[in-house]
Amino acid sequence: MSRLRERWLCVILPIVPWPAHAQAGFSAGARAAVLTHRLDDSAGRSRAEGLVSGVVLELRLERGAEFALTATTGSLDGSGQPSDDRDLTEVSARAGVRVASWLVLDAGAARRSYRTPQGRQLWTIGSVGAEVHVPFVGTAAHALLRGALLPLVSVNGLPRPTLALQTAAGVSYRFGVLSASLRYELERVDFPARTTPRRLEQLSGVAVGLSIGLSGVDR
Amino acid sequence: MKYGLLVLSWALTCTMPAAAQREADVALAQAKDWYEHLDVERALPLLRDMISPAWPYGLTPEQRATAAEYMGAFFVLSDVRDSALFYFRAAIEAVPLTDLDPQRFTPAQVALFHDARRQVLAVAFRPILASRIAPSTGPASFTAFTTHEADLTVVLRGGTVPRQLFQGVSDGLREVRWDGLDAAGTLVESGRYEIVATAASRVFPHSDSARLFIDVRREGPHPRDTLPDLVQGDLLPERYSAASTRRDIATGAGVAAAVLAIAAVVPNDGVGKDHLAGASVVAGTALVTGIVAALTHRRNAPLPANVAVNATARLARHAENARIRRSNADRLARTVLVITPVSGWAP
Repeated sequence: MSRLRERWLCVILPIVPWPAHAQAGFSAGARAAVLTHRLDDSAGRSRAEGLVSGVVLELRLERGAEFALTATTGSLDGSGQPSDDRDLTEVSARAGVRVASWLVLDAGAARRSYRTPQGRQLWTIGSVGAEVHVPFVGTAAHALLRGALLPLVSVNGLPRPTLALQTAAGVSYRFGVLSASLRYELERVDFPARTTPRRLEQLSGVAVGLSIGLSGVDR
Repeated sequence: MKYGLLVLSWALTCTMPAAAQREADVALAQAKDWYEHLDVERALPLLRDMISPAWPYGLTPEQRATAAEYMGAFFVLSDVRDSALFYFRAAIEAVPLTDLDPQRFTPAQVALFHDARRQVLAVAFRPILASRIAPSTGPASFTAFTTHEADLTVVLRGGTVPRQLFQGVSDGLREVRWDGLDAAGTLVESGRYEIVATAASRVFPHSDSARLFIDVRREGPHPRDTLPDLVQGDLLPERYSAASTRRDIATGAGVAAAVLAIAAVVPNDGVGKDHLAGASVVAGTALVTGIVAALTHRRNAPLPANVAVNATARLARHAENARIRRSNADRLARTVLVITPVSGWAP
């Protein structure tokens, strides 16, 4: 796990979503999430939980284009089973376009690493999704809903999954140049039982984001 | 055989008008020749036959006008003024732009022809040729004609609103210029347009009109549409309302429900349901956010933050439209209108 602390840099998908009233410009932020990784395979069920954290860089253009780079890392504790411990590192990029004041369509790619006592597993993930922002009237808060399909999931040693999706919901707040968000996220990936036994994976948890607008103008 | 007859009849039908015109041209040339030799006894019956309904070959308006001119000229020479006026008027009615050549006709004939013009009101357009106009090179020109002093109005039709190109008193030829713009001041789209001249005589109570059809084709970059004004759905509410209170509570409850649904429904049963503690925290926060937002409302109280955001959005839209208009002005300057007459001439 100490190795993970040394490799702290990574980039992940939408961590601090932009509220509809956010600034067009550049922002930087941090993300922390308490995640639970659940796995059901030939060895039975396992569960690991822990804190991951990282940084987020976001660029918004006035014409509605959005770009995000995220890097996170952390350790998930196998609750007494050392074989279930795993270090998570993820780097991701996302490009989106705001097609309405409340809707962003996006596509992204991520590279994820799980390091366990048994070895290292690499994931390559491609996603297409949509994110809805609904403002609370007269406040600086927004409701967030996100859904994404993962048409490309490539994991070494595993076949293509039969089902892969990400969902999230939560709220975001803005205080001047500061933005904060709280959301519940869940990723589900079901691998089929072909040459290997059936394998079900799930990564879920509560994520907190904080970002600061470094440049830009009010939209 | 049957098809052969059909082809023959079709060929005859096609060639008949041309043949008839040639017959009329021959007869007209013969009558002019007799006129040059003052052979009234032979010319007058021929011209009268040509103008009469019994003439078997048909006449174009120009041929009819020429025949009537010579009839009138003969009657002037015979000092039969009323008949001369009658035929001169017939010539003008057939072709308003017709005139007597002073080199071939006597001053008395020309003077009486001008008198006839004062007794007939007719308006017409001169034939036009295909032309290209651009805002940078100058307008297109059409020539309207009235037989005598009249109140003339020339209007362009074809767009949503007719555009008046000329209105005023005119006598004889009147050049009318058109810059290619419609009534709204924008360059016309490609299509067929009609130019209508209406004349009301200032000599006697009578009016006449003429039409000129043109095809217009735009060549050059097409302008961009400006963006529509921001409407209510695009803007944030600027005042609290009862609906906004309900909406905030519903939004918070909706997010809370979505979070719990994600935690309870989306997971695969094989890995076990996610424990709801984390999801409950997020759901509760969303619900509290909605309730707090609703409780802070005072009905009809202004929302300064939203007003400011809306003002910024309106300014941005205004600036974008100004940029589009500047771009369109540049595109317009590079656009050319190709104008072609539909039939080559106008009555």
